[in-house]
Amino acid sequence: MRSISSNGSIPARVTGPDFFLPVACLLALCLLAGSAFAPRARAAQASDHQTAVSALADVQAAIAEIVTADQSGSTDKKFYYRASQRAINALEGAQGPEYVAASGSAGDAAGALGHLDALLDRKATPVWAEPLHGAEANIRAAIAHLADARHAHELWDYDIAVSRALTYLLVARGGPTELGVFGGLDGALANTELGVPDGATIADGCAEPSAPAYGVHDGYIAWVAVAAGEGTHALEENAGEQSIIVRNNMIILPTAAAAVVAKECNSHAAAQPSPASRPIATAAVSSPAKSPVPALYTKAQAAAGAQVFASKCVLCHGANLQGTAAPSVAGTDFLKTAKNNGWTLEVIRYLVFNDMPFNAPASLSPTEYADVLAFLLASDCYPAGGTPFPTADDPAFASVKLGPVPGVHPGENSFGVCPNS
Amino acid sequence: MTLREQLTAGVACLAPAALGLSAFLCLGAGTALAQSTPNPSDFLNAASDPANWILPAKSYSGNHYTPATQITPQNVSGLHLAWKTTLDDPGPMENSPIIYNGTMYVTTAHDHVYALDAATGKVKWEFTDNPHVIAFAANRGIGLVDGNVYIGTLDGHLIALNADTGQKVWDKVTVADTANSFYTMAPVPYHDPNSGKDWLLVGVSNGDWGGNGNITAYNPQDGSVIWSWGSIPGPGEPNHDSWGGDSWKRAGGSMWGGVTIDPTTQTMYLNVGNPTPDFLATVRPGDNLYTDSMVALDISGAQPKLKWYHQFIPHDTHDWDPPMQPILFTGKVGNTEEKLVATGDKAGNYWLLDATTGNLVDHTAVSFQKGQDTPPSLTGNYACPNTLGGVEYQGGAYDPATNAVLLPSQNECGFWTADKDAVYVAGQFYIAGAFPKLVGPNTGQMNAIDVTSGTFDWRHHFDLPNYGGALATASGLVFSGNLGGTENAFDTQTGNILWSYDTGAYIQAPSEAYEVNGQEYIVVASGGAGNAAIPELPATGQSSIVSAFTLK
Repeated sequence: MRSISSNGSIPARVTGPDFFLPVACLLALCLLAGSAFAPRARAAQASDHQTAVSALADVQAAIAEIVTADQSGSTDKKFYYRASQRAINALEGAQGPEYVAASGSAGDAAGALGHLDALLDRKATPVWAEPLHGAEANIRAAIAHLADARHAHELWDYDIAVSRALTYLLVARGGPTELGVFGGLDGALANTELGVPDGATIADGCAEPSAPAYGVHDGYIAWVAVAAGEGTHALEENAGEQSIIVRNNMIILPTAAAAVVAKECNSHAAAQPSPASRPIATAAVSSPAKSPVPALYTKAQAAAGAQVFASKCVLCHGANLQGTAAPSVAGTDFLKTAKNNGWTLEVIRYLVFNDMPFNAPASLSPTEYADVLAFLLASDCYPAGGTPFPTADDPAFASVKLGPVPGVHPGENSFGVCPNS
Repeated sequence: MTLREQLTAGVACLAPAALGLSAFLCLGAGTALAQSTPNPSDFLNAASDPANWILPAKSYSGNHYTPATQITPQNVSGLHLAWKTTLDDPGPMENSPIIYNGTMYVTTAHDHVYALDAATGKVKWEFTDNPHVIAFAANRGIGLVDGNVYIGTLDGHLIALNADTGQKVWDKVTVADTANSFYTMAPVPYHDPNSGKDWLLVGVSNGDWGGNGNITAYNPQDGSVIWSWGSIPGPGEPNHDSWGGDSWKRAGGSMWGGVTIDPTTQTMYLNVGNPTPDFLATVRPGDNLYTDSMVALDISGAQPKLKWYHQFIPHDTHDWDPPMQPILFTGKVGNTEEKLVATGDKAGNYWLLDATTGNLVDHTAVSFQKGQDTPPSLTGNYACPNTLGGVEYQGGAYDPATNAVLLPSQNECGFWTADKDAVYVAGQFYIAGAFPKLVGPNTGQMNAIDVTSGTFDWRHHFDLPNYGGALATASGLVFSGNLGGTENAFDTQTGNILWSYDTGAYIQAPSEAYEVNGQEYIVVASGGAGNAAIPELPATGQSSIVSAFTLK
């Protein structure tokens, strides 16, 4: 009888014969799920995978420690202080400045930060570096609040500090359905090569699975395939799957990274068309539909922004916007650099609103900043429209990549700068 | 090799044994016998030559001291403008002119190079460049060797120009990452006695943009790398653990303040820049070696080896690095003559170290300091000096007659804010915050610091920053320009100003002394204010100007 049970907080279990992977189980959460506690095997030199698993275990242990203390109902301050310290110890490890040996640790000697340090301290920058960086930052923030909790005067001070710490730890732990920083350690293990257990079979993530394996491509796990059939198949890590595909006698669990990998696989395929599919007529090669250049500001704003520029920016950036002491801010040189460096509108917006003028950053009014952004966009030949450039930040700006605007622009000068009216 | 074989070889170096000389004399292929560029013994003896100025800080010692004595405290009031040349590239002027055999080579903010007649200021040739500017447009000068003028550019090129004609000889991109790396410092020629080869020493500017600093020796013939020394220890290297996690990968530590060399011990002294991200130090737990340090390198082998380091500010949170070329000198501490090396930093400190061991001899605060133990917060807080304050890159001098170090310093406070996190964006500052908002007082002073006691012989106050460095003369004068545009001559003993001249543009470059046909001149560059602009600056011209002064 086949059955699949999946629950967000426990390792997924898939029934089937023969394909049993050891379950790495963690303290309180495992006990809740009713599965056996399997002590982690200690290799002489831990693999990246084991180190990441240990880091996650330490974070989970810290969370469990403070959650348990919270549920205890104790009225003894020392009980809560000790719980905070044990959580700190699990996060920092014995080398950390806040470590206090007497309290013991909810985790292991290296601590989550010790494990993260071992993973990040290398020349290469794998795709899992970003979520681990985020986890590290969040763990440090949590430690700061746990340190406060250690000498809270009243229980409600303790609760506030621990709640703050808990929010950071939950982000550091993350979840298997997210990539990047919000996926945290759980997401990194679910979606990147960090989650491939030692000795497991690895296949190309762009290909269809033909045997039980982890489908890996460009550092991401795209899918996990287990053999279909009677029995229990336990997975070492959460796969974060949104769906389960049964095909070719395989049970395939696509991860949250599957979409990212599919995109990369397609771009590889497009770069090298197989001879059989090469079009005979060159006109058959399709180009992606050109997305229209967005209209991001109004003409009135650009005119007002010209005044702001003339009074606050021109000394360093030049009346022709090509820079005297500072870089160019519009025109061919600026847009070429923006394109090469992958600058988005968000990058420039942040720089201007927060770091400019250079010697008096963030000193202008939001309206002045919005106006000068409008002026710069106009000078870069971006079209004006009905919607003003907002004073508040817009998350959509992170998707607007800056670069030369195609087409002919009336009035464009030799620097590639367009008039603002 | 016979002497004849040596002479007919491509680059012939005549060994001392053959000629009984105490230094090498090298003839580069194709150079005329009336040399247009200095030879190795010229560089080694630069400090004792009043006529030429062939290294950015006069000699390898970094001591802006001239043996010229024609201009004295008694006659300096008669100093007048000999010539003033306006150059056609506006921007801040940070240039230290290189002057040899009557030709002066100057550079402007966008990497134009001009050869001027040193007696008249007439332009002999101009090389025009148009580099992309990553952040700051500035160039601090050229290197002159092997028949060529060498410049490092804002877009990461090393360019060789023929010294006589200004024609390009070769042009090479020599930075590892053009998105975040560029050059401003003057390349420094050095003849390595062990290999017999000439080196061109350049440090890359990339520290505040997410790169790691290095000093590299290039072959002047073609720009190929001879050796490179990085300031940030990688995995497995000593002191790598002073960087938490992988923060060492974008660590800063640029070395663009100039190169001091002791040829007798084959030791190179370098100041190392600040760690990054500048204002969010939680990203990089640890002391962050070797940022904000002076390092002494043994350059006698194929690869430099670290002899000692002295870190001035561990785990810097405010971009308070020591940006100037170290001043190496033999001075008196009490009754003992000692080999010493002096520097200042942007935190407003003067440091005096034992040149052999790197041990601290003296530390004196030379600027108003406040809030230096508190990192920039998210909501913002005050600290002094700001990044334009303290002691800046123009350097200073040691005067043996008064046993004093002459060094200007600035009092500028700032309001800093840090970001919640540090995000690297190619081509942008990697500082996790904003450069500080200027809050005043924006004043400066010229300091004379007694080497024995570390106290001030005198201080001369200015209402504006004094970024002109210090040129000391054997006749008892100190020359330094004030940001407002005035070039001043001080009496070295008393600090009284004996002569002033308003150049008509802002000064943030060191002064120099040279001679043509036995006549002494003082020269200084002035130009736009650039990012040194403060609200108190009086309006003046902003053209790029070179002004030369003389008695006759």
